[in-house]
Amino acid sequence: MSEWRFDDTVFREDVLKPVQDGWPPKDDLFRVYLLPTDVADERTITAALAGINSQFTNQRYRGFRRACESLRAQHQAATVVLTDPARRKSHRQRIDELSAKLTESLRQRLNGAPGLPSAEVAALVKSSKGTLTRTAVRAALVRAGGAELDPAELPALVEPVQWIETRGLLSQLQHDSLWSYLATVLNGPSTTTTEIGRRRDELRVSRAAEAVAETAVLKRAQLWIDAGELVAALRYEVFDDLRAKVNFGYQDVAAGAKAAGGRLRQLGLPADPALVAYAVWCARPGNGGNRAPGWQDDYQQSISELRLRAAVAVLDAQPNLPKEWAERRDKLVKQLSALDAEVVRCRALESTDVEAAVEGYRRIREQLADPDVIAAIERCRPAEPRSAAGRVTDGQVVISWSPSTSRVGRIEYRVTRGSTVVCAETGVCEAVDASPPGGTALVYSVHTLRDGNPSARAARTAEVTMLAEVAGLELHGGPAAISGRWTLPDGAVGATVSRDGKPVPGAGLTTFVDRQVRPGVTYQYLIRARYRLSAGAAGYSDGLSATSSCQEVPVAVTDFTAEFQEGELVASWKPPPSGEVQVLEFAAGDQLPAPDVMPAARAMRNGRPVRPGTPGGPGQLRARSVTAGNRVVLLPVTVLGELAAVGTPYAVDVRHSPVRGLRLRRLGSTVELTWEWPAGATVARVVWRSAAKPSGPTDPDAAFRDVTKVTHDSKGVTIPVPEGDYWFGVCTVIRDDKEDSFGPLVLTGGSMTATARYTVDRVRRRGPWVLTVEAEHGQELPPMTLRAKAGVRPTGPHDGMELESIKAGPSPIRVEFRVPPELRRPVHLKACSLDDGVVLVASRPDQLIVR
Amino acid sequence: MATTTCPYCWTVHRRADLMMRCGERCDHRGELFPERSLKEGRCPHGKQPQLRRACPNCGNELLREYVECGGRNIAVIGSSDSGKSTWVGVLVREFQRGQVHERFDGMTLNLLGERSRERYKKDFEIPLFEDSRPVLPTASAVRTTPEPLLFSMRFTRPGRFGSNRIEPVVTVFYDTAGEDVARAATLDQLIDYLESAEGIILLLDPMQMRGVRQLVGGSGAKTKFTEQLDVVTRLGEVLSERAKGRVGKLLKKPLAIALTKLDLLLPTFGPESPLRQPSRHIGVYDQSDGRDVHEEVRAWLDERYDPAFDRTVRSFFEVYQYFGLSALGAPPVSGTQLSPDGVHPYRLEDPMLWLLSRFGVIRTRGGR
Repeated sequence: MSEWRFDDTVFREDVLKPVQDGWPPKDDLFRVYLLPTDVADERTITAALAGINSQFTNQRYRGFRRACESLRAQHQAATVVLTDPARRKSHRQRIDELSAKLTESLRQRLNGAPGLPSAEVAALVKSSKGTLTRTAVRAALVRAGGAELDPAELPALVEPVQWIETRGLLSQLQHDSLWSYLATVLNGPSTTTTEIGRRRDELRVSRAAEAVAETAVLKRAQLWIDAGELVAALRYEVFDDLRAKVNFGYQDVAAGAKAAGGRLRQLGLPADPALVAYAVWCARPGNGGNRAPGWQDDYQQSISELRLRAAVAVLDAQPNLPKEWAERRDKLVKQLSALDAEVVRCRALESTDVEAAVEGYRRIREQLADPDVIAAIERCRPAEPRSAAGRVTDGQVVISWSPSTSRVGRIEYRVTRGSTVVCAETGVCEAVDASPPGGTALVYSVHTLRDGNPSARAARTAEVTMLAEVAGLELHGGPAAISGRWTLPDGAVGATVSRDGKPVPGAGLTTFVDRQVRPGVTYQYLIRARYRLSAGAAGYSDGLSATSSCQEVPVAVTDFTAEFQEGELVASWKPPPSGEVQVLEFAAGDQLPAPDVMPAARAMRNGRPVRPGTPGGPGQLRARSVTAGNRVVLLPVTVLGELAAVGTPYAVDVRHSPVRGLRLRRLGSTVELTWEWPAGATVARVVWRSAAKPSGPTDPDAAFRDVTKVTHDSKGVTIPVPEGDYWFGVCTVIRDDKEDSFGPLVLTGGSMTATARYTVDRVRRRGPWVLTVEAEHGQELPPMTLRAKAGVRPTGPHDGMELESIKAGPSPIRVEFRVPPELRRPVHLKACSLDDGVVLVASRPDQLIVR
Repeated sequence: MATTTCPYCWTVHRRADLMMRCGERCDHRGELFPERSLKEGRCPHGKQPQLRRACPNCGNELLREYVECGGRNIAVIGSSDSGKSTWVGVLVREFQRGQVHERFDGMTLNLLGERSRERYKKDFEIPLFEDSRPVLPTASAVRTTPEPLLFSMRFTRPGRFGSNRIEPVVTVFYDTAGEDVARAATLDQLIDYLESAEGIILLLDPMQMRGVRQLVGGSGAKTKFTEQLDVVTRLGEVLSERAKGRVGKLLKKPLAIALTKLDLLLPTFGPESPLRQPSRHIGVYDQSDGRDVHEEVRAWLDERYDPAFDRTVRSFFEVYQYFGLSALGAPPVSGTQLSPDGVHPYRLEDPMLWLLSRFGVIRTRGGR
C-alpha cells in the first residue's frame, strides 16, 4: 500500500487553477484530494483529507483564495463521500464513466495516428473549462493507444507556379506525377536544362496533342530549374499527394508515406515515413492547431494566377516574414526584374522583327499576367497573305491564297466578300463561296488571323463574275409539243433556249413551247441564263442540257384472256410495242371506260389495279383478285407517259377455275369420274370423245353430260362407254339468262376394254364340261386360258392348273374339257383372256365350282 | 310370345313386360307400370298412358317402331383403323341419298329418335361431309357402353294383286372401338352386345395384313397392328362360349366379312374381277354377284394374306360371306383431311344388303 503524498505542482495545476476558473470540485473528489480513483485504504483517505484540508490556509496559495474557500466549503461533504465506501464507489463509477468517454473520444480523434501535438492537448484542456487536466488527457491518450507527440518540422510548402495546369498536362501524358515523368523521361530531380532542351528538340517535329502537352510540361520544368525550385516542386507534389489521403484516415497517409520513402530521401526530407506521415496528418486542413496564416493563401492565389507583382506585395506586407519566405520574396523580385527587362527587349524588336517580338511576349505571358504584355501581343498584327485569287467553278467561287509569313501563334485566315463573311476561320489556303450573287463583279478579301487577331491589311482577289445556271429545269413531252420551264437565278435577266444548236423561237423568261417536233423522236435542249454585265454587255451561263421526246400514242391490248387457277388469277396477252400494261379489275355491272386513248389518270380512275402476286414474264400476270363475288371484269390498259389506251375487257368468273384432282375409275364397261370442285361452282360438264381430246366443252364430236355438285357428291358420275381409248374432260358451267359459259377444260385419258361373257356347263351327267365364250358385240375373241384350282378360285391366267388353252377366233367359241379327277374337290374354274383389250366375265359364277 | 331386345342394355323382354308410364292427365303422372297392366288401353288408374315403352332393366325409352317392327341388331366390329365408324357414317348417307337409294327405288332410311339423329349429325355427317375430315375414334367399351344408332328402313314391295306395300325394318347399329377387338379381355366385355346381334359385320383392314401393307405402300404412321386372323378367332371363341348345343357346333349367326379400303387394293385384282365391275344389286340382292365377290375375296385372302383365315372362319361360322368395299373411295390426304374430291364409296352397302336379304327384308335374285 502506498503512502499518500502531497504534490504542490499537481495540486496547483489540477485543482486550484480549475477551481479558481469555476470548476466544481465535487465533480472529482479523487482529483481534489490527490487520490487514485481505486483507493480503498481508509488511512490513506484520512491522510489525504487531512493533508489537503491543511493546505487551504497555506499562504503559498493566497493567489487562489477563491478556490481555497470553495474547497474548504465542500470539504465536509467530500469527507462523507470519500470515507463512506458505498458513496465513494458510486462517485468513482461516475468518474470512470467520464474517463472512458474521454478515452473513446480521443481514440476517434487520433484515427490511428500515434498521438496529439502538445498544442492540441493544451487547447483541449483549455476548452474543457477545468473538467479535464493535462494529466487526465495524457492518461486517456495512453489508454487510446497514443501519446502527447509533436510532429517533425517540415520545409514550408508553397504551391509551384501553374501547378494545377501542370498536373493536368501530366495526366494527359498518362503520368501520375511530375516525379514519375522526370524519372521516366529525363533524369529525375537531377534533370538539367540541357536535358530538357534536348527533349524539346525531339518534340518539335511533332504536332500531336501529346507532344504539345509535353512541351508545355518541359517549359514549366525549365522555369523551376532556372529558379532553383524543381526540388521544392517535387516536395510539394509529395506532400500534396499525402494531403489528398488525409480524408481517408491516418493509415492511408502512413501507407502513402511509406510508398514514397525513396522519394523522401532523394528530396532531402525526413527519411522516416512515419515522421512525414504524422507531420502531414497534423498539418491537415481543419486541424486548428496547424492552420496556415491567411496571407499565405493570398500569396498562393496570386502565384497560381501569375500575378507575381501582387504576390511580392503580399509578402512585403508581412512584418517579421520568416526567413524562408523572405528568400522566396527575393527570388520573386529578381524574376520580375528579369521579365521586365525582357519586355523592354521585345518592345525594341517590334520595329524590326515582329514575329520575334511576339514570340518573346508570348514567352513572358507564360510566366507573368500583365495587361501591358497582352496589349503588346495584340499590337503585333500578323502579315496578310501575299496574294489571293478567285475562280468560278460549278456555280461556286473558289478563293485561294498564298500563306502568310507569320508563324508565331495559331495562324488562320478569314475570307470576306464586301461585308459578307464567306469563311470566318480556316487553317487551309482555300475557301468556297457556295452561293455567290450572279451577274455582278465580285472581289474577295483574305485576312490573316493570329490567335484570332486579324492582320492590318488583307489580300484581295481580282474581280470574278458568277453566271449561274437556271434552276428546276423540267421538260415535258406532250402529244404534239415539248414544253419546258425553269426558274432564273439571282442576277439573271432572261434565258435562251436552243434545240440541237438552233434557237427555239418564242422562248420566254422561264418557259418555252416547241411545236416543231415529231412523235417518238428525242430532242436535246440547251437552256442558258442571260445576265447584264456591269459594262452593259450581255453574259451567258454555260447552259443546262436536257432531252425530251414527244408523247407516243399507246397501243391497246385486244387479246387479253384470264382464268382462275387454284384461286389465283392468271392472265396473258400480247405485249404492245411500248408502254406498260396495267390490269384493272371491275366488279360485274361497274361502268367501264370505252376502248380509246385518253389521259392515263382518267383511264385508271375507276378500276382497282391488280397487283402482280408472283413475277411473270411480258404479257403474263398472276395475282389475287380483290373483288368480292364470283364474277369480275378485267380491263387491260396500256399506259405510256401520260396517255393510256383502254383495251378489250375480259370477264372471268372464279367459278370457272379448273377442276382439280380429276380421277377416273373403270368399273367394267363404265367409268366413274370424281374431281374437286372450284369454290362456288355448282354445275360441271363432263365431255368425252373416243381416240381424240375434246376440243372444248361444246365439241360437236364429243358426248357430254352436265352434272350438278349434289349429284357428284351423292351418287357420283358414272358413264358407260364401249371399248377403246377415250379422253374425258370436265369443266365448270355457269348458266345465266343469255348463254352457258364454261371454265377451262381439264382432261384425262383412259382405255376401255371389251367384255366377253362365258359360261361353264355340262352337256350331260358325267359328260364333258363345255366352256362357251361369247363377245358382247360380236367382235373377235382373244386367246384365252381356262384355269382350275382346288379349294379356291384361280386369281389370274397363271394361277392354278390350265385345263384348256384357246386360240383367238370369231365369237362364239365352244370348248369341251374335263376336270382332272386328281384335283381335290371342290375345284374352282376361271377363264382368263390373254389379251389386255378384252375381259372375260362369268355369266353364272356359281357354275364355276365343280364339286 | 313376342320378345324385344333392348338396344341399350341388350336384355331380352317379353312384350308384356315392357314398362309404360301414366299419362299427363293421370294423378300418377310418370309412374311406371308393366304393359300387361293395361286395361282396355288405359293405365291402372283408368287414364290414357304415355305411348312409349321403357326397358324394365335400364329404363331407356324404346321407340314404338322399334318395338313393333322387331328391331334387328347388327354389330359392327373390326380392329382399330379398319374404318368401322366411317363405314357406318357413309352407309347411312348412301341409303338416304346415295347410289343405293337410287338402285332401290322407293327405299327410305330415317334415323330413329333424337339421340340417333344428333349422334349421327355430330359424329358422322359433320366430319365426313361438311368438314371433310375423318371421324374420331370410337370410345372403348371399357369406358363407355356402345351407343346404338337406330334407323328405320322402309322398302316398297309389290303386293300380290299389283299394289305396293311399305315394309319397315328397324336396324340398330353398334359401332365398337377398334382397341376392344385387339384384346381378348376387352372383346369379352362385348359379349352381350355380340350375342344380341342378329348379324355381325366384321371389317378387315388390309393395311394391317403383313405383305399387303408393303404391297400398296403404307403411310408408315402406324407401327402396331392387330392380326386380323386373331380378331376372327376371338370373335368365334367369344360367341361359342354363349352358344347353345354341343361343343363345336357351328354358329348360325350370319357373319359378313368385308375387306375394306378396296380403293388401295384394286390393282391387285384382275380386270375380270367382280370387284372391278359395277354392283349388280339393283332393287334386289343379286346372290350371283355376291357369291362371285365372295369367291374373289376368299381367293385374294388365300393368296395375299393367310390361307388359314378362311378355314378359321369356316370352323366357327356356318353362314358367312366375304365382301370388298371402299367407304371413302380414295385414301385421306392426311390424318385430318379426306380426299378433296369428296366421299365416293364403292360396294359399301354389299354386307348390309346381304344381311337384309338374310333377314328377308329385301328380295334376292339368282344363285343359290
